[in-house]
Amino acid sequence: MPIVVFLLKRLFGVIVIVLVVSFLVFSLLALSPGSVVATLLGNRPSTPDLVAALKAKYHLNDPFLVQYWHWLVGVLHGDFGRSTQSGATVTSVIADHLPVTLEVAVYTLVLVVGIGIPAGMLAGIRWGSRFDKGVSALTVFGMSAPGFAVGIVLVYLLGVKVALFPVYGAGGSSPVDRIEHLTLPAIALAFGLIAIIVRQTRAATLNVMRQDYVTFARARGVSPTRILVRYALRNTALPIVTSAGLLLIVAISGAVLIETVFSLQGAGQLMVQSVTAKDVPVVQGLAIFIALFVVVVNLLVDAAALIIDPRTRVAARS
Amino acid sequence: MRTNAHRVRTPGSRAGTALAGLVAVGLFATGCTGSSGGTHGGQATSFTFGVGAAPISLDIAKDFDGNIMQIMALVTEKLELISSNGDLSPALATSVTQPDSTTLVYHIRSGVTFSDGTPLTAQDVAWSLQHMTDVKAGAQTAGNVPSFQSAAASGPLQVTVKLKRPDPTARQNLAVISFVQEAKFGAAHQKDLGTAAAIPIGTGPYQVSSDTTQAVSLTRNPHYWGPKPPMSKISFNVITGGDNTSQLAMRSGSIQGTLVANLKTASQWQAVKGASLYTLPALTTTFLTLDISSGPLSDVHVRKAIAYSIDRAGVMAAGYGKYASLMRGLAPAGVLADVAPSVQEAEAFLAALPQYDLDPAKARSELAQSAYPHGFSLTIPYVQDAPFSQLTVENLAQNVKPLGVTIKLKAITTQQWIATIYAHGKGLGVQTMELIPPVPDPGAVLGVVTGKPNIRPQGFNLANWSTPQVEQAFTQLTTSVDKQTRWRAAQTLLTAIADDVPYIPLYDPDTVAVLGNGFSFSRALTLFDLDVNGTWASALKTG
Amino acid sequence: MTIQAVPVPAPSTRRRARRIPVVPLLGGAALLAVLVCVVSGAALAPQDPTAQHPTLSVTGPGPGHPLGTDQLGRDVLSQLIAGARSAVIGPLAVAVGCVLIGVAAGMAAAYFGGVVDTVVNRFADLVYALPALLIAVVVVGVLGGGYWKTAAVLLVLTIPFEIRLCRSAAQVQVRQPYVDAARTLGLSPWRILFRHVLPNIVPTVLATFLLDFVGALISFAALSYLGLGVPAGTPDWGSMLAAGQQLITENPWLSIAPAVLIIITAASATLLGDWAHERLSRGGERA
Repeated sequence: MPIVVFLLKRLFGVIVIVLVVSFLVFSLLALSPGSVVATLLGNRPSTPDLVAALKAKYHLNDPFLVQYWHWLVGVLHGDFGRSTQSGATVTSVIADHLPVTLEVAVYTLVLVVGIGIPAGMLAGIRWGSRFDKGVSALTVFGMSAPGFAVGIVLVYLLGVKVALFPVYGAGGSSPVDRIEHLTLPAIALAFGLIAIIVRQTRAATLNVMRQDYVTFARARGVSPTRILVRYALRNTALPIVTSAGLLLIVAISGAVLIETVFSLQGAGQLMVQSVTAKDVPVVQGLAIFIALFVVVVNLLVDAAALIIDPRTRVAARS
Repeated sequence: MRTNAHRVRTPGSRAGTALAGLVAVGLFATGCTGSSGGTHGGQATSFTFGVGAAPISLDIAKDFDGNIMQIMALVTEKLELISSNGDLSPALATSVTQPDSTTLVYHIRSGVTFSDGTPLTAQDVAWSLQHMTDVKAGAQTAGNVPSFQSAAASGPLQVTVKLKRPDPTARQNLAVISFVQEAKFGAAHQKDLGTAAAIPIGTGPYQVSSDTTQAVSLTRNPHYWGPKPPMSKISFNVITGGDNTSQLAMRSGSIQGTLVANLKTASQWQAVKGASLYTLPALTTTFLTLDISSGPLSDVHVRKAIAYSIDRAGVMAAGYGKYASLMRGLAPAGVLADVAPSVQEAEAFLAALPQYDLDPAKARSELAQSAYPHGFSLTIPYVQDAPFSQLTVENLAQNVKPLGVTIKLKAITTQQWIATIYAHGKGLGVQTMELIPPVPDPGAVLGVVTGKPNIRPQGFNLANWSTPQVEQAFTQLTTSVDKQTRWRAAQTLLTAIADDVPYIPLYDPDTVAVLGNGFSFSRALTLFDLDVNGTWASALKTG
Repeated sequence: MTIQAVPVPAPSTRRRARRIPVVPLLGGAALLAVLVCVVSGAALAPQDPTAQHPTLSVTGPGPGHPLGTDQLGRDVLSQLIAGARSAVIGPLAVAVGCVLIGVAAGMAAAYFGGVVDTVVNRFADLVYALPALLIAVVVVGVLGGGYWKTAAVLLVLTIPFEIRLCRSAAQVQVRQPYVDAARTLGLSPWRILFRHVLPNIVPTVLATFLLDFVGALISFAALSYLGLGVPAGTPDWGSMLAAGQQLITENPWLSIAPAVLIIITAASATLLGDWAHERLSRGGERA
């Protein structure tokens, strides 16, 4: 059963990658300049006893591999350790910071898919029209403008002129409050990617519209919507699914700028803060989670590709 | 790939720039719709303050940061309050006696209860002091009182602290770090004390009602022994977007107070309707350190040439606007206040010291007298966005070009900067340094950057500078308990530094607080009121 | 029947073909202006971009400073002109490198499948999963900072995105009948990929190229606090944009001017690229 084999192979790959990532991250942290103790004590007065005590507490005198082994054994027992900075368990720290990031990611995905695909398709179908020209111009702008600079303009328009959306924070736990607070961050994050999706969708749609079978269908009287759904959508699905995967990955691991600007205490900020402070347990825990996430998302994207288009199941061979 | 701006974390310091280094993009718009702040007119009962970064821990021993202290001083009180010239006044300790030079006896106030109803005993105080000076556990506050030996309950309301040696600043430092919390709770939650699951229980006017990554909220402590504080609820909202976002938040009413992160934006803050700025004199000391042990810097004429090549006044204005003052010696007058006969005398002394300001002619003549008349090259590391660091060395590099001196600038992160200073390794060269004395005492600055004992890892005599005269003065300053002797020693050290230029004093930036939406302070405050004593909350008033 | 790539349709009326392409022309002119600045560097600037006047810190437009000054009193206009070089060259190198490597790898993964696909994908996964900041910090710590090291780091960090996007776009093409036909004819895989598949994924490639360019430009400034990017005192659009954020009411031009220039440069490149692609496809159609 090829699908099962595929899944098993990929799952094995997941485990390998996560292990490799954990070791690489640990090594990188060891190589990075600065020391945990210096970070904790800062440019404040200290004594040699204090330094020695801290070093013993965090096993900093053990050899590198021993330290990694300690950590690995802990993880295999489900104990990700505690943050060197606050003493809170790594799992609770991650649990405090992850939900916001996930929510922004999903919201952004909805915007990108919900706006980008219809816009691209419409532009492709109404090729050459004013709508198409307008959309194309916007994509040029979208790809050229630094995302956060556009964010500023948006906030200025939607803030100074019309106080529509809150400008900082993630809001309370009520869904309406959350959506209100996360709208501007989601728009800022979605900007460049919507441009790409629109362009890809438009190009693919144009492709499809020019095909003989579409002309034939139209001649037969099949409605444009039907054509759209039956032919255009399926053909553009693949790049779109990939872009969605990429977006999720970016949102989880690379959205620090957005998080800082909008004061969202998310996983991006957590990673930066922990790396800077050399908070090894937190960085390791978060890196593992992100690695897992990345690999699973790519797995889903590839699985979706197989499902969407059977022809991709047959790898091209010379 | 993207990261955010860094924060210099030092005791009693402001979150000058938030942690980690990226474009902190400011936004121009109104902030949250829906105000979470106080009511206007009528009886305002809640107040929201914006802080620049999320607290890492509410246990000061784990996060010795001014922002956290501002919050927790309202919850866990101190034994004594300290003023900006070093005077101590009672808080939880009604009186303090010193039977001999290595013993302090604190008499604890009676009738005080914690916010959970348990009465305060000497045991709680003793445990708290041990906790804050716990070297084995790596308490960040332990280094402030290195002479601390033990604290024990010597009576139901009496605690005896023993020191390893006579220490002129021990009592003051204890006043800064003695956050008293309930011992039973603290001991039961050793591992996660300070996290949201185990918030220290204190005797202060407020207690923590919620602690999330976005905000810390305090409500009145019904068991508080003192007068009821004006606000029934105080929230600290985390705003990481910089001054622009904070301004928007204030404009929209979502916060009523905050600290100005970038002093250059003070004029923008003044433009916010209803906002008033409060300058809180701080004792921040910024300076350049010149490692005299090797290279061109070992020549005093080279050091003087460098000192004459910095446009201190210009860079200060460029970096801090009008919210800073030039340091006339390696200690602000405020730090000398508790040993000098009077503040005026301290200021007069500082003004009479040799000053080094931008003077290309003098710089050229000094260099000509040195062993490197044709110039040399040097690499200077700087921390981005910190005016005392980046702007100063950029200015220096530009001004020394005509002299044939080539300065290569190297950006380093705050962490790397701390690690370098901390490691006190070889080849320090020129470093930019910032010290925030926890107590207004010259020992906190001069006693830290001079003296052979401080030429070691974790020692801050980064110039590796020592002369017999300086050593003698250093010993007197750090061990004598006689005010006159210490004042003379301080004067000796300051004069020697001004003559020999192992350090180039720079600026003393202010801390500026903003209050808006109808709030103001009812009396003048200092940074100690805000960060150390927790007395700022009682000064809040509306209208 | 000739094998041809399925072209992206272009305007087909003869009248349109004779009309002067105004927009691409403007784009070309703008790019040319930027290129002139890149080549000439500070020579074209009205003042020395590194001359400091701290007393004139962050003033608005005035005599001698048409766009005002920055925090140390340096002229903004001069910095813009001198800054074109560092703002364009490094990010351009990153974007070009990304495209070259990413497109080749992505197409190879899509075409060959199997082991090649797995290796390429796992490599991409690995780079995604590693914290970017950590990589940057270690590179600086071990190899030191600097402009070209930054470009290398950014290249490595951006390639996975390029690979995944190009791979998926190529996958769509690879299953088209013309590819099978080409293979049957005995064309070599690389010939098929570069002569036939590549032209069809150009819209995707161009879009990611632009995003990479703009992203790299911002990242150069963003990573400068680590010691990467341009050193302090060197004029650069990204650094000006970053520094000007908090000072936007004192001198808005400090941020707005570089932002506008970035947009103009990237947009011009996009427009030219689109126009060129259309012209070239039209040529293909006629064959």
